[in-house]
Amino acid sequence: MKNISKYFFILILAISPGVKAQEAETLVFRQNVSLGYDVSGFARKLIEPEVFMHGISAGFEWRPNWTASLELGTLGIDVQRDSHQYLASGFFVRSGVNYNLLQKTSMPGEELFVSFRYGFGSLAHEAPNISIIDPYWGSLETSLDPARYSAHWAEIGGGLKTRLFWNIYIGWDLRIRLKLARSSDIEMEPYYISGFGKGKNNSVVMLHYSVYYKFPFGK
Amino acid sequence: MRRPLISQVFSAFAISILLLILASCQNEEVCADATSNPLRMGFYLPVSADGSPQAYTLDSLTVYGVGRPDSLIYQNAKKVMAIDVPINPTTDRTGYVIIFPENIIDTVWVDCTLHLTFISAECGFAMRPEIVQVSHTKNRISTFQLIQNLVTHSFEEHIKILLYPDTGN
Repeated sequence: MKNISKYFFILILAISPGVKAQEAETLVFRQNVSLGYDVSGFARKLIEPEVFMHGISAGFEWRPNWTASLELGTLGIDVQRDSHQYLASGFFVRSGVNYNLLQKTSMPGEELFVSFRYGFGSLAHEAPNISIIDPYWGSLETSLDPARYSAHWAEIGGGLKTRLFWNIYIGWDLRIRLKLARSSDIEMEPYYISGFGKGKNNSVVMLHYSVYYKFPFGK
Repeated sequence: MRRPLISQVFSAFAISILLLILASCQNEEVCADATSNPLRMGFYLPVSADGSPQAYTLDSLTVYGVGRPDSLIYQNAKKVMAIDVPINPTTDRTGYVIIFPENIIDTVWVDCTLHLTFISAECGFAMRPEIVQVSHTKNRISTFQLIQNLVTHSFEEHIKILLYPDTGN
C-alpha cells in the first residue's frame, strides 16, 4: 500500500497541465550544443532499487534538423540477499545522429525525431554467494568468480522533445536495440548490459526520458 | 495556442512508470515458476496413419529419481499421457526410474549442460538446462525423440518417449 501511494503521487506530478501559448517567431538557424541527462534510471530504481543506470548526452546540431549525439553512462547493481548476492558495475558509450521530422518554422522548440545509434557496453560482474534450492534433488551452493563482459549493438528509435522554458528541454524516446557481438566463453550472461538492457536478450526495447539544456551559438 | 508535445512528453513518462510497476510485480509464486524448469516427457506409440508418433495414455505410472526410491515424483498415477520431472541442478546427469503397468521398469538418463542464470533480485539464480543426450533401457521404451533441448519454465514437451505396443494379457 505504501508503494502504491508513492507511485500515485509520482503519476499526479507527471500528468501536468499544458503551458501557455507562444507566438510564432521568425527563425534563423543557429548551430547549437545541448547537454542532457537521462532520468529514466531513477524510474527504474523505484522498481528495482538494486539496479541503477544513468546517462548523460551531448548533442551538436550542425545543420538544420540534424544532430550528432554522444551518450555516456554507467550501470551499478548490488543485490544482497540471504540466499544470493550479485554485483555488477560498468559503463557504456553510444553515438549516432538524430533527425528532426518537424519543420522548425511551423513548431519552434518542438522535435519529432528518429534516432540511430551504435553502442558499446562493458561491465564486470560477480556473485560471491549463490544458493539454488530444488525441493526434490536438494540445494546447490556455488559462486560466480569476477568476470568481465562486453557487447556491441545497433539501435534505432524515435521520440519527442519540447521546450519547457528558457533553454530547458524535456523529451522521451523509444529505442529498439539489436545485439551485434558479445563476449564469448562466459560462465553466465549478465543481468543487465550497461547501456543495452537485459543481458539474456538479443534485442530489447527501452524507453528513455531526458532533460536537456541547449546552448545556442554560431552564425 | 496549446503546445501539444509537452503534454505528450509528460503522459509518456506517466505511462512508462505504470508499465514498469506492472512489469515488476513479483511474488513468491512468480519466483517459483521462474526458477523451476521441469522436464516434460510425453508417451507415444511409434505408429500412426501419417507416420508420426501417436499419443498414448498409460493406465498407471510410478516415477522416481535415480537414487531417490524413497521420494516418488509420481505414485501409481492414473491415465498418464506425459510427466513433468525436475532436473537435478547439482549434476549434469539426471536419471529417472519409470515403472510401467505390469511392473515393467525402465530407466531414462538425461545429460544436460547447466546454464547459470540470474532471474531477478527477488528470485535469485536458477539453472537453465540444455539437453545434450538422452539414453534409456529398453524394456518398455523403444526409442525417443528430442523435440526441444532448452528446458525453460514453459509447458512445451521436450522429449517424446516411444513405447513398444502394450501386448495385453
